[in-house]
Parts: sequence; C-alpha cells; structure tokens
Amino acid sequence: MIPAAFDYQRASTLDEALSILADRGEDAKLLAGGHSLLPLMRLRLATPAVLVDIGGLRDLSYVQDRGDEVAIGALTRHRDLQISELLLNQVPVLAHVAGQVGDPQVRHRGTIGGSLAHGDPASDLPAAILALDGTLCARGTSGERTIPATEFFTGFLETALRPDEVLTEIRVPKSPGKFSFKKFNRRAQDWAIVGVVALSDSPARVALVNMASTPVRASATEAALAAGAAANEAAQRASEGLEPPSDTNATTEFRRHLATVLVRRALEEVGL
Amino acid sequence: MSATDLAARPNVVGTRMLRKEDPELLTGEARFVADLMVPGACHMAVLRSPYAHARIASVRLLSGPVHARRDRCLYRC
Amino acid sequence: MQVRMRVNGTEYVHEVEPRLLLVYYLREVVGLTGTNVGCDTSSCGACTVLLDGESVKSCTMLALQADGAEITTIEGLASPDGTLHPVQEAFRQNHALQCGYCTPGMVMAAVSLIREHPDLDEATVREGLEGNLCRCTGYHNIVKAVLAAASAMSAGVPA
Repeated sequence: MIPAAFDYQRASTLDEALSILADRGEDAKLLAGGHSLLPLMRLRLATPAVLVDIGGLRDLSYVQDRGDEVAIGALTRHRDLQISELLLNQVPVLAHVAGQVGDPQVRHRGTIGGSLAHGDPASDLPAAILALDGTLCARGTSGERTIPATEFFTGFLETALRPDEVLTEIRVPKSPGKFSFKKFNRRAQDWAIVGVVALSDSPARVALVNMASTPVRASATEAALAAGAAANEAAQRASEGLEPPSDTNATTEFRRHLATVLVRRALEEVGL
Repeated sequence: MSATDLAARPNVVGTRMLRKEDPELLTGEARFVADLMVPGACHMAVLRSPYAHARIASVRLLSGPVHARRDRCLYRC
Repeated sequence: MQVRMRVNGTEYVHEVEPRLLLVYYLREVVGLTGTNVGCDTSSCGACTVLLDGESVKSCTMLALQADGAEITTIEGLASPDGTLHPVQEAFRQNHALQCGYCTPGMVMAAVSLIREHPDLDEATVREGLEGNLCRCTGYHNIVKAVLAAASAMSAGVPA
C-alpha cells in the first residue's frame, strides 16, 4: 500500500511551517511522527497534496516544570513522556498512559501533539489530557491562542485547530494523586475497545476512550461522585448521554456495559 | 551400511542440534520470494471484487503499454 | 527529493519520490532485503529497524523522515568477521525462530529493548515485544532468547 503522491516540504522552523500552511491552506497536512497520518495515507483515506514535515523541530520536544503546571512540547514522543522524571513525579497518569500507546516502535515515533491533533476517539492520550483538564496552545499566522481540552475535540477526527495553525504545547496541572487507566482490547497492541482514565484528585475526574465520536468525560459519573455516590453507583452512569460506536469489535450495548465495568474498576483502584 | 560407517556418524539421537539454516535467517542473508529481483520480471496485483456475491458481467482486456496493461472485470450485483 | 542517511555505517545519497517508504528504500534502493515486509500496516513489526539506535517500523516512515539518520538493519548487526550479535546468537541457541520471516524485526526490536532495559525480566520482554508478531514459535523461545541475550550482554559479551 503506497500513499498517493504529494509534495513534501520540510520545515526547519515553526515560522516556516506556518508560512507553508498559510500558503497551501487545507491542501497541506502536518507530519510529525506520522503514526496516525501515514497509515491513513497508505490506505488512501487521506490524500493531502502537501506534507509539511515538522518532525525536525527539536525545540518543540520538551517536558518543563511551570509551577502549578507541566508544559509539554507538541513534538514530544510517547517514549519521552513515558520516561520523563517530571511526569512520573507530578503527572504520573500521563507517563503511564503514554507507555500504553501502541507498541515500543510506535512510541519511538509518535508524538503527543500528533495524537491530539489527529483527534481519534480511540486514542489513549486525548482522554488523558481531557481528564487532566489540560490546555492546548496553538500558533497560527495571526498569533497564539490557548484552547481548553474540553473544547478541543469537536468531532470524529476533528479538532478546534484551524488549517493554518500548529499545535505547539500542551499544559496540564500537576496531578500527583492516584490514577487508573483501564484499556480493554483483544490484542496487545490494539486500540482500546473501551478505555477509562480516572483521577482521584478533587474533584474526581473520569474520561472515556472510544465511547463517542470524540474523547469524552463521563460527566454523569463525575456528577454522581461529586454528589457523594459510591464507585459502583457512579459507574452505572458511565455512558449516560453518550452514543458509543458500534463496529466489528463491539456493539453499542457492549461498549456501554464495558464502560460501567471498567469505570467501576478504575474508581475502585483510585480508592473512590 | 557397515558397522564402521555407523560408528563414524555423529550420534544425533539425544543430542541438542543447532539448525543449519539459522545463521542465514538471523543475518538477513536468507532470501524469501519477495527478495528475489529477477531482471525483466512482470509484476501482478489482484484486484478483488468489492462485492461478496456477484456475477462477472464481462471481462475486458484494455490495451496499452505492457507495464500498464490490466484486465478489468465488471461486476454486476 | 534528495535523501541522505547512513545505513549500517555506509553513507547513502539518493533521489527519491517523497512517498517512498523507508522499508522500500532499504530493500529496493539500497538493496538490503533482510528487512521484511509482513503486514504492511504497522502491526506485525517484521520491518523493524533501528533509527539512531531505537526500534521503528520502517513501513510507517517515509524515507525522507530518516534524512540524516543512522539506520541499522539486520545485515548490520553481526561483526564484520561474521561473529553474530549476542541477540542473534541467543536466538540461534534457543531455537527462537522457525521460518525466520519475523526474525529480523524481532531481533532488532529485542536489541532496542535490551538497550532501554538493562535489567530485563520476562514480563518486560513479553510486553516489549508486543509490536512484533511471530506465527511459528509461540513466542516462548523468543522470550528465552532475549533474556539470555540480555544477561550475556550485561556479563560483557560485546554487542
């Protein structure tokens, strides 16, 4: 499977990437690690006319302490998140979830920014950033803006990023409390059929993988927990208000069931 | 086979044997069919019907340069 | 476009189409067919090579993304005098291969894994090889081989 032909442009600075995007608009796609985009291009589900390779922008790869927050460069690879001392101490859920993405080879190439900008509801990191109430920073030709994670994922593989913008940084509040990540799949390296990220930090937060057309928070469960419900009771409401997809791996009903079981286990694991 | 021949053969029964083919397979020297590049070889690809149950309505041979020629089947559902 | 990379210590410069994938660059342009294409969908790991010392699936990278990189394929692992790398030797001694098709990728993934985890245990090996599929061995001897290689290497057998 060979991708359709495209123009390849290698950006050596962020400004250069922005000017190519401004020039080529919706015809252009950014290429970071390529582990979401290239498989789609090989299946010809994506046929961008121009690929702007930003993989070489080393200054967008970092994990930094910013007081109450940790800032992560968009081009930081999953492997670097997995072994970051700062994350392991201050946001351990993110290091853990990054270590569960794909397999080691994928984690050597895939980037957090690429995973978020791809906006796949079946990916693990979007749910983690959503549970953490993270903030995403985007740079466009007209300047920089920040987007709360809760407003970032707008539809299936769609995000609030504009065609001329580059996701540059992700900020998450330090959350050293207990966490749980439950990923249910049939084969080791697969995407989650349903996944759950739970954080015990007050207020308790729960985000779901592959339970809607976007990564989502289990709002009904969170509300129940806030009102003092026990884990089991709160977990029963995991899929309330959601329309989970039906595919070869699971029906909508099965996903609803899985969500209640996995959310209960996750909540119990964090001691709620 | 004489008794002397038997004695000269290494005793393989009960002995741990290493496979003869492994060094090639472990160093990338082994050649699988996909690794053979025969000069002038033709390439082919099979385009399968996108329909699970269909009759072949016609088969047309499109003319063109050798390297771009393909048979085309039209499926009728 | 021009692409330049070192493969097994030799510098190569070629003009390539942007859509050329690294695995096809290695196999068809450089001529190193030891790296196999299995699933072609970044699942099976048969195409695993080392990029700057880390395992990657060469079917899910453009050759151009490896511009300026140091690539090691299965052909570049043994010593020039033919002495097998400790991982290759351990695979041989532990019968960790049968048909050998997944082997180059499995060996390269193992080399990267051992580098990242000097103190390997069985669970880490099993998890660390989740990106490589083998349809012959049932994995058991592969895991044994990787553990044996790791302990040989930590005991000072040169890599």
